[in-house]
Amino acid sequence: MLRRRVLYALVLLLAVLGQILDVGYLFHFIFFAVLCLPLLGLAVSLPAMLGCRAILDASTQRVARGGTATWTLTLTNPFGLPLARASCRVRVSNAMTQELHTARAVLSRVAPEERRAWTLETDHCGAAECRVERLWVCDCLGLFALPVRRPCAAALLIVPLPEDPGPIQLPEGAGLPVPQHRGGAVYGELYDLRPYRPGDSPRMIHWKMTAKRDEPVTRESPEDQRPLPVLTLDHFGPLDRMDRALDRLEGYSRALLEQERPHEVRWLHPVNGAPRCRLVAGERDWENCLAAILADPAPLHGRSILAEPMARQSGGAIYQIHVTGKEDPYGQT
Amino acid sequence: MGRLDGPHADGRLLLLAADMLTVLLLTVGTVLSFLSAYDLRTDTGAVLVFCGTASVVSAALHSMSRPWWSLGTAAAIAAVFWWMWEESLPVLQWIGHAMGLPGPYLAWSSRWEERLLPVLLLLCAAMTWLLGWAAVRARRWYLSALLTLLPVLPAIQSGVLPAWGAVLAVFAGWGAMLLTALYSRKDPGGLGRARLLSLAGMAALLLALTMALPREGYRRPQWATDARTALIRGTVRTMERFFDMNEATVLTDLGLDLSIPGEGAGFAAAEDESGPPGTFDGGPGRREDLQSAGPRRFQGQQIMRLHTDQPDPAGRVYLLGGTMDRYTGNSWESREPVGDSPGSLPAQTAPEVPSYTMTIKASQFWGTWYYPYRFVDGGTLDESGRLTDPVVVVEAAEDGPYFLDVSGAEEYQITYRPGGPEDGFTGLPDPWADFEDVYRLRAADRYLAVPGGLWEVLEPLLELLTRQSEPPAPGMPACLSAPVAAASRTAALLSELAAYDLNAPAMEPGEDFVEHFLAERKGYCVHFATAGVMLLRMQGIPARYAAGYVVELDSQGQGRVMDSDAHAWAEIYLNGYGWYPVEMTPGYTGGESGVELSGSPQAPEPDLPPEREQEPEALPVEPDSPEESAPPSDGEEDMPENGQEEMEKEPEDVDWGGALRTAARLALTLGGLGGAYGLALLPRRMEKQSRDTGRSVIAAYRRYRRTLRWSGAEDEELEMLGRKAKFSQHTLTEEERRMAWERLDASAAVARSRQKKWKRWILILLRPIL
Repeated sequence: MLRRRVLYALVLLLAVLGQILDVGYLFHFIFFAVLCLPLLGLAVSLPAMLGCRAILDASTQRVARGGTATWTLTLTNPFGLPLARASCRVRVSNAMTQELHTARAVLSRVAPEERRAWTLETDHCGAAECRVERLWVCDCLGLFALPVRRPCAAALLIVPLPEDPGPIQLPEGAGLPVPQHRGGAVYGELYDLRPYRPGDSPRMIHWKMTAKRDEPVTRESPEDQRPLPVLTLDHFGPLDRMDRALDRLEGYSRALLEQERPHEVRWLHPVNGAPRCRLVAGERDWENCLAAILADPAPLHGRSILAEPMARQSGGAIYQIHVTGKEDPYGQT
Repeated sequence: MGRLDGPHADGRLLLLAADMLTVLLLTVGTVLSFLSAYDLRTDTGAVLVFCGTASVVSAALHSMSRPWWSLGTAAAIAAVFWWMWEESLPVLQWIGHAMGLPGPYLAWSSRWEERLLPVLLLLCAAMTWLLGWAAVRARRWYLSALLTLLPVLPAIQSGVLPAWGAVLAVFAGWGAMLLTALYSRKDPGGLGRARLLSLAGMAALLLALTMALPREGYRRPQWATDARTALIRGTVRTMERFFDMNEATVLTDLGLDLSIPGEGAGFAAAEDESGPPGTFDGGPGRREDLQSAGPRRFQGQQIMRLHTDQPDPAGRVYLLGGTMDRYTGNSWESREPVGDSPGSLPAQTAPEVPSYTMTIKASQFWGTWYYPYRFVDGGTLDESGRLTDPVVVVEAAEDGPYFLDVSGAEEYQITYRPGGPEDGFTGLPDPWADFEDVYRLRAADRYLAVPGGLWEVLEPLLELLTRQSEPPAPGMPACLSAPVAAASRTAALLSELAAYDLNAPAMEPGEDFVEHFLAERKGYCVHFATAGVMLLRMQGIPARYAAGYVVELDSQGQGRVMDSDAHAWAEIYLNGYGWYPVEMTPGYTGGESGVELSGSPQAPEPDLPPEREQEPEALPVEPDSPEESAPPSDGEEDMPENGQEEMEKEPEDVDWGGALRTAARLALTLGGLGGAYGLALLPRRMEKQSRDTGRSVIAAYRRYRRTLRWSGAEDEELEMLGRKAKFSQHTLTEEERRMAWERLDASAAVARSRQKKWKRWILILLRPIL
C-alpha cells in the first residue's frame, strides 16, 4: 500500500506541475480529477469493504499425526463485489509443543467469495489453534485500508497414531462377574458394605444401612475390588518421544476399552505439577482425556509422575502402567 | 475468459456488457477527439455508428478463448476489407507506393476529403481492435491510455483542446479501468459489477467537475501563476548562476513558453533603444512583433487594480499603454520622439468637463504606465511650445501633488476627464492651439505612411470605403465627424471581411501581416487594429496603433485588470482635438468587457448599422469587389521598401527554430514512450527484488503460467517452488528465489524462440507482464 501511495503522490505532483506550468483548462481539470479520484475509489469500494466478513475454520476437528489438515480463511461480502487486497496476520500455535508460527498473509485480487488455505504441519501431536489478526481490506486503488472484524479462532487436535501394545495381562479376582452398566453406576448383583472413606462417591453410600448404623456406609462392588488400571504418562520430554508415548498411551487405552476395563490416565501438569487424572470408561472419555493431554504444554524437562504416590480415589488396588516413549517402554508397577 | 455457457455465464455476460461499454467510451472518445483536434470534417454520424458497432464486436471478440479469438479476428479483418474494398484499395496502393513496392497503382485522388471517411473508418477499426485488446484481454489501463493519447498528443502539445465531450468519454473509460485494475478476474460477475459501478462513479465525478469548473471564463488560479513565476525565476537564476547561460532564451526557442507575464509580453524594446528597458513614454525604440501573433493564450494573471472617484463610473475604460507609428509588414515600431506625444490635448478641449482621479496600482512595475483617455496634462509648455511629460500624481508624494516621474512606480494617480468630443468640445485654448497647428502637420507627415505593396493590396477595399456613407456620430462636432465616420465605416468593413478568433494562426515568415490577416479572414484585436490603421491612413486620416488594456469598472469605481484584458485599437488624429481612439475589433469581448466603437469611457454608443450588432457568422462578399480576401502576395515583391532589406535576406532560409521544436517534441514523445515502457517494467523488477521471497516466487510462478500460453517451456522445478511458496509455512531462501526467476527467464526465452519473428517483438513488448 505504501508503494501505491507513493505512486499517487507522484501523480499528484505531476498534476500540480501541470496546473502551474500550463495555462489551459485541460490541466486544470486533470488536477482536480486526480485530487478527487481517491475519494471516488473509496466510495466505489466502500460497499465491499464494509460488508466484508471473514470466517476461519479448519478442514477437520481431528487429524492424525502426519496427516493433512488445512486452515481456510473465507472472505465474503453480500454485494458480490471484489476487493483489491486484504491483509492479515495469521498465528498458528500448538499448545503441547508450544510452537508458534506467525505469518503475514496478503490476499490480492480478492473475489467476492474468496477462500485461502494454509496447510498445517502435523509432525507432532498437540492442540493446534489458528487465529487471524489485524485483518484489513484496501480500496480499489490501494490507498485506503479499513479494518475488518476478525474471525473466531479455529482449532483442531493432532492426535497420535495408536500403537498396539499387545496382550495386556491384568490381575483379576476369580469368578468376579462382569460389571453391568446401569444408568451410569457400575454395580453387580453382589456387593459388600464397608465404612465410608473420604473420597467415596456419594452414589456408593448405602443410605438404608447408613440410617440404621448412624454412620455412612458405602457399597463396594466386586468391580471396585478389582485393581484399577492406571496409565501414567510423563508429560515432558523431546517431542518425538512424547509422540511415541502418546501413541502407546492410546494403544493401551483402546486395548483396555476393548476389554471393557475402565481405567484412569494420570499425568502431572508440567508447569504447576498438579496431578491430573481422567477416568476413561468409553470412547468419549478417551477423547476428552486426549484433548486434555494435548492441551497441556510438554516442556523438555519435568517431574516424573513415578515420583508421585499412586492411590485409588475410592481406595482399592490399582495396576499402574507407565507409558513412555523410550525404546523399552514397558514399565510396570 | 471462458465459455458463455459455463457455470458463471451470468457473470460473464455482465462483464461482457461492462467491457463493451468501456471499449465504446474509449473508441468514440478517441475518434471524436482526433476529429475535433485536427478539425477534420467528415460524416460524424457514420463514424459514430461504425465505432459503436466495432466496439461491441471488439469486446465480444476479445472475450473469447484463444482459438475463437484468432478466428474471429481474422474474420473481422476480412469483413472490414471486403466491405470497404473499393475504398480501401487506394489506401493499400498508396501504402504500397510509399513503401516502393512494385505494382500497378491507380491515380490517387487529389481530393483528399473523399478518401477521408473510408481511411478514417479503417483506422477506427484498427483502433477499436487495439483498444479492445488493451481493455478486455490484457486489462491494462495504461495501455488503453497510451493508445487513446497518442493520436491527439501532437494537437494537445500545440495547445489545441479536442471536443470536451470526447475528452470526458476517454477519461471515463480510463478511470473505470484504473479503478478495477486491481480486481480479480476469477469472478467475472464481480468484476463486471465493479466495472459498471466504476463507470457510473466516473461519470458522476466528471459531470460534477465539469459543472464545478466551467470552461467559459476559465482563468488560471493566482496561486498557480505565482508558483509558475517563482519557479521560472528560480530556474533562470540558477541556470544563469551555475551555467552562465540564458536558458530562458533557449527554452523559448524550443517552443516552451516560459515567459513571465509582463516582461516582454507587451512592448518589446528594439535593438537600438538607448533608454532603460521597460520604460515607455511614447519615445523611440518600442516595437511589437507581429510575427508571433498566433493563437493567444492567457495566464490568468492580474496586472493591476484601479479605482476612480468618478461618480457613476460603471462601464468600460480604455487604459492606453503606448502607441506606435511605423508599420514594417511584420512589426509595429515607434519612432515618436520623446516628449512629442501630446496625449493631453483632448482634455484641453473640454475644460468645463470635471476631471477625476484614478488611482492605479500595478502588481509590479510592468515597464510602462497606463492611463485612461483624456488624461489631464498639467505640464507647462516650454519656449518651443513643446509639452513636457504629462502631469502624474504620485500617491502620498511628500512634495505635493505634482510629480512628473513615475518610472519604477507601481502605484500612481492620473487625473482625467471622461468622455470624448461628443460630450463637449470648445476647441483648444492658447497656447495649446498654436502647438496643435504645428503638430498636425507632423502628424500628417508621420502617420499616413502605408507600405507600397500593401497599398496595392488594400486599394479595392479603399474603393469600397469611399463608396459607402456613414451618418455622423451623434453629438460629434461637425469639424470632427468626417474622420470618425470614416473610422466607423472601416471597422464595419473589417467586421464583414474577417471574424474574431483568438486561435488565428501566426503568419509565415516573409508574409505581410495585413495580407495574412485578410487571407485567413480571422484574427483578433492586433489584426483588426493593424488593418484598420492602414485603411485609415489610405483614406488620408492620420492614424496610429495603440495598445493597452480594457477594463470593466463596477459601480464603486473599482476595476481589476487581467492579462486577458490586453487589447489593441487604433487612434486617429482629429485636427483641433488630438488623438481619438477608435475600435476596429468587431464584437470584442476581451476579458469581461465588450467594446463599443468609441474608446472613451462613458461615451455614448454610436449608431451602429444593424448588420454590425452581432458578430457576423458568414462573411458577405460584395459582388463587384475584386477580391474579398486578398490572397497573400509574394513577400519578396510586395513587402514594404523599409522592411524589404530584411525580407530579402534569406527567402529560403531554414526554420531552425521550428525544426528544433519538432525534434524536441519527437524526442520527448519517444522518451515518453521509453519511459512508459520502463515504468511498465518496474513492477516486474520490484517483484523480483521483493523482500518477501515467497511472494517473489509466487509472482515468478504467475508469470511462468503466462509464458506457457505462449509456448513457454514447462518447468517442474519452478512449479514445485511455486507450490512451496504458496502452501508451505517455510520461508523460501534467496537461492530458491533466484532459481525461480532464472527458470522463468529460461521459459520465456524458450517461448520467444518458438515464435515467429514478429511475435517475438510482441513478447518483448509484453515483458512487463511475462
